[in-house]
Amino acid sequence: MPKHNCEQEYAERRALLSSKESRLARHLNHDLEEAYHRILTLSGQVEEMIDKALRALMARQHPVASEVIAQDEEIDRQEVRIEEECLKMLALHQPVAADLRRLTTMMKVNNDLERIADLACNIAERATDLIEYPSFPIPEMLRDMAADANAMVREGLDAFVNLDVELAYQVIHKDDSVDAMNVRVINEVTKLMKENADWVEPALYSFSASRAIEQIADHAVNVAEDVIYMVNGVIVRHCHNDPKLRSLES
Amino acid sequence: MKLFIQLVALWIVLALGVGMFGGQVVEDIWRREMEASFRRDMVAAEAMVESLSWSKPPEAQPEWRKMEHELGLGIIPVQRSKAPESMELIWTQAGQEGMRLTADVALSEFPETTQANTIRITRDVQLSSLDDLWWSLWALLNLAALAIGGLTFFAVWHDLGRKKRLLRPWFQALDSAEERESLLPAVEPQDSDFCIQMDAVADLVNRIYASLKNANERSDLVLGNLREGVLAVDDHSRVLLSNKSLRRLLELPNDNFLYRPLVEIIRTPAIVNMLRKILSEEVLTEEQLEYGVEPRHLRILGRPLPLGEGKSGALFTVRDETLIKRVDMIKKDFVSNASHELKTPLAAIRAYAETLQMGALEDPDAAESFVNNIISQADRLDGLVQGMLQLSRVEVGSALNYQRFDVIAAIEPCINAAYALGRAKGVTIEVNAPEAAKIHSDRDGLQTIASNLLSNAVRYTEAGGKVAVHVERQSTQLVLEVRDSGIGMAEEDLARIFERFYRAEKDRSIDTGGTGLGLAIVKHLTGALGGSVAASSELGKGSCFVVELPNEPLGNVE
Repeated sequence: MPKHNCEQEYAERRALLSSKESRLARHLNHDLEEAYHRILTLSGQVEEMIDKALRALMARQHPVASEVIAQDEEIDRQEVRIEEECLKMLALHQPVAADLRRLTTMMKVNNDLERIADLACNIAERATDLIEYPSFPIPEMLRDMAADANAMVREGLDAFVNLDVELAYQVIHKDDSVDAMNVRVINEVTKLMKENADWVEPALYSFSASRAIEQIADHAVNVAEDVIYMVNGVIVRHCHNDPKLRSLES
Repeated sequence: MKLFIQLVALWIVLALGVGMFGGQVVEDIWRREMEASFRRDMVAAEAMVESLSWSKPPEAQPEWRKMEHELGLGIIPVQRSKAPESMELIWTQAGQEGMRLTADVALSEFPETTQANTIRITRDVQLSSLDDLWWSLWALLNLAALAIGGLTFFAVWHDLGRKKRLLRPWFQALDSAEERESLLPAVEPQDSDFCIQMDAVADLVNRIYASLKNANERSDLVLGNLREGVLAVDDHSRVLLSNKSLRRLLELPNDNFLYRPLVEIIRTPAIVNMLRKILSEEVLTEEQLEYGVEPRHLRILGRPLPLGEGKSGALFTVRDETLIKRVDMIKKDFVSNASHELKTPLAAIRAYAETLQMGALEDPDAAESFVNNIISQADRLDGLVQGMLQLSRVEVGSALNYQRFDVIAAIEPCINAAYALGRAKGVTIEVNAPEAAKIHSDRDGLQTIASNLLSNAVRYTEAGGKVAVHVERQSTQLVLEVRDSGIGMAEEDLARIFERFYRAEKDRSIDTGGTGLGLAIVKHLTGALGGSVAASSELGKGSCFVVELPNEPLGNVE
């Protein structure tokens, strides 16, 4: 079986991130794992929210949009709980090296997830607004853009789970295409506004939804950058000369 | 390390042994050496004494003193009652740290002036020279032992792989008592009880291993070929087992994820919540969800999985119900569409009848018009029922009656009917067909196909439009093409027009008079006759339907 040694590679990376043997370190590892699993559960809920919000937007489904908006409160509560746990770990264990990187990354991913959930709510609200304009043609490009942004979030979180730096770089690279699609959607919406003055309001809602989707993709990029920092200890944020990114671009 | 400690211990034992017994040996060697040297000097002294003139007492002669100094001896003439016959060496103590070696030698020519017949030769030896020799040898021995130990250590560790083989017996001898015991089977005879029992144990282990391996392979085979996805999770939410179908249905990479926490693999809240509920409450749970990039309808059943020792995990089975859902949806659509199609003419008939009842009967002109409308709606209802019955017969396959016939003659009534319809509507009909084209197929079936396609083409073409019919008998098949310049269809409608009651105009605002079953009947009939039908269309420009039917029934082709 070629097996690509997925398990072995994963185990090695995990071993690198949790190499401490002392009793205190064991406690830290246990707490880290618990918080990590909480974040993964949270991420599953956030992914579902994005999915529902985009469905509510494109298929104009009011009940689905309401579900998304109702879910946000629970996400906020969980985000605060995870952050409190992380702060407690910082104060109690004062982790260093790989543990510190992992903990800070978890805090940042937690924050990004909460922001993504807020943006999903924004999209759901815009979807509710757009239901009142059934004749307004929501740009089809928005559907592709939403699918790409959703895939970026999913892959960013997959990279976080599997400590997959390659996948994280691919997520960063995908952001350019989502940005380009956002520009095209805005152009299309502007054209619609010029064509029909009655469509100015729904066009602005579409514009807002498009912007939210683009921001979701940006947060997915943040998650991917945090993963690279956690595994390699290198900050690639704002680093446009990164050889890996340049090779992907070429 | 162990070897090194052993070498040091060996060296200490050797050093102590040399310290204890080496002193005596060294002293013997030293005494023998001293005696040999004394004998040599003594012979020289005797020769020199005999060469003296003895004219005056020897002590007074300068040669005597010189001789004593050169040879390091004390030489004294002594008077003995009897001259010694042979030389005898005597060791005596001389002071605290010295020894004296004495020997008497009889002179052959004894000078009368001295009154002596013997010379006594003595040599004093300091014991410190013996100590020096002893410590020198001791140091040399230690150095040699160290050097040998170091060389052995270096040689063993420098090329351990090769040396180990060569030195194995020695290593084994140096090993601990338990390890030495493990060597016993090697020296046991092969037919001993011990060896026979060991062979039996080895055979048993091999048999158990092989049967376990087979059982494992069998269960992998069964699980791998199940259409349902199977996932087992332990009490700590770690994956114990997952099969190929599960990975396919949940779009997971091809890995077995053994002992990885489930939440790292599947983050879907519905599944995570199911797991939490099963582990905490040990109850059966069931979920239906749309999953994946191209959504599949999955039914997930979760139940507690007893793991022994009071522990309980969770077992999930995942079933793909996408097809079932689709069939269900089609069935619902059919009932809804059929009832709608039946209800519309019935409602019209009822309305006309009520109007007549309410007094329209008194007006002969209106009454006639209403009755005509009632008859028209009844005809539509009849057409609908006939269409449904025909579709049902075609699906069952009982409606086919194979015979050899002329296609042109068969479809002529259909073309004439289309002419009549087209003339009334202002649509031109063009026919391009050969004189005659005989095929072996179902005549009524072909007529139904042609009339449905032609009536549709005329119905959806506006006044001034054109419908072209082209018939061609090729070597193996008959091609019937109906092309119109009508309203056409969008691409998404084109994929669904052969479904029952499907209409491209969603709001049914255009009453074309059709039943919505025509194209479904065409598709099923061509399929039953072994042919095919294809449609192409462009919105606003027209549509084209091409039917291909085999010239001979599929079983009769030579």
